Amino acid sequence: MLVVNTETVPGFRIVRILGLVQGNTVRAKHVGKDILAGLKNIVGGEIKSYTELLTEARRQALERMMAQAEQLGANAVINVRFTTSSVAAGAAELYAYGTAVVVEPAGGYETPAA
Amino acid sequence: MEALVGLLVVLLVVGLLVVFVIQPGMGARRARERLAQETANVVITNCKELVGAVPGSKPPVLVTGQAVIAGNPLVRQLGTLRRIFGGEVGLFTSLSVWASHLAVLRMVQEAKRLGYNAVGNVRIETSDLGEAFGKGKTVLVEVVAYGTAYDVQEQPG
Repeated sequence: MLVVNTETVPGFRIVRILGLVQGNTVRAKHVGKDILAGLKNIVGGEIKSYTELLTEARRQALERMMAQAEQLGANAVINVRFTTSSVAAGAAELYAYGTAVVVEPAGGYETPAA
Repeated sequence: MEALVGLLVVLLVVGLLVVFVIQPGMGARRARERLAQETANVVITNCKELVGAVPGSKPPVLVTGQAVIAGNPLVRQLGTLRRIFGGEVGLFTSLSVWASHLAVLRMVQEAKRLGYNAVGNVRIETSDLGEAFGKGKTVLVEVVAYGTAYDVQEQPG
């Protein structure tokens, strides 16, 4: 599956648009990790455990989006966007969305697998 | 004896203040220097297309980078103070710069790790996680940077 955040894919031609696909996840922080984060909150600086949590969550949102695209029979998702928002105290929502399309190679590339 | 204790307390407070004042700026500067190093031979643009680039051996792929930075108590207090007269909260700016540079840096590192030499259509988004993770009491800035990594044969310019 080709995933890009551009409207076109260099080296490929879009032959069919299958529609909007999305994936999201709402993540709460881990109590154990939060104790360390709480300490870091006092001095400031990067909070690695939150960064990791959001990286993992964003990956999951992307995977859900790709699974939806696969169901539609797409082999690429274009124009992907991410958003993060606080939905409740202690939880953050990560949202990924894009357009599922079917592409065929216009250059030297091979047809991407679904 | 009391004078000594008093002196130690004063030194501690001054030390903490210095650390709190220096830290965001230092972090931002270090991130900027590392970003400059990492991007020395990588083309990064937020344009939709890489002008003049010829597709290389690999199809484009999405790359992301993120960072969560917490503000120290001084940043919070200054933010509150600033609300009276308005104006730029310098430490806050440094914090945001720090987070966004780190996020872009990680995005570029991912692209390089995967063997790409350019990133196009870069988007940088900031969100406030203070409400979600910090119970509204702490300053928590989350930045995500993402773009499409290209393997280009001829770089524009």
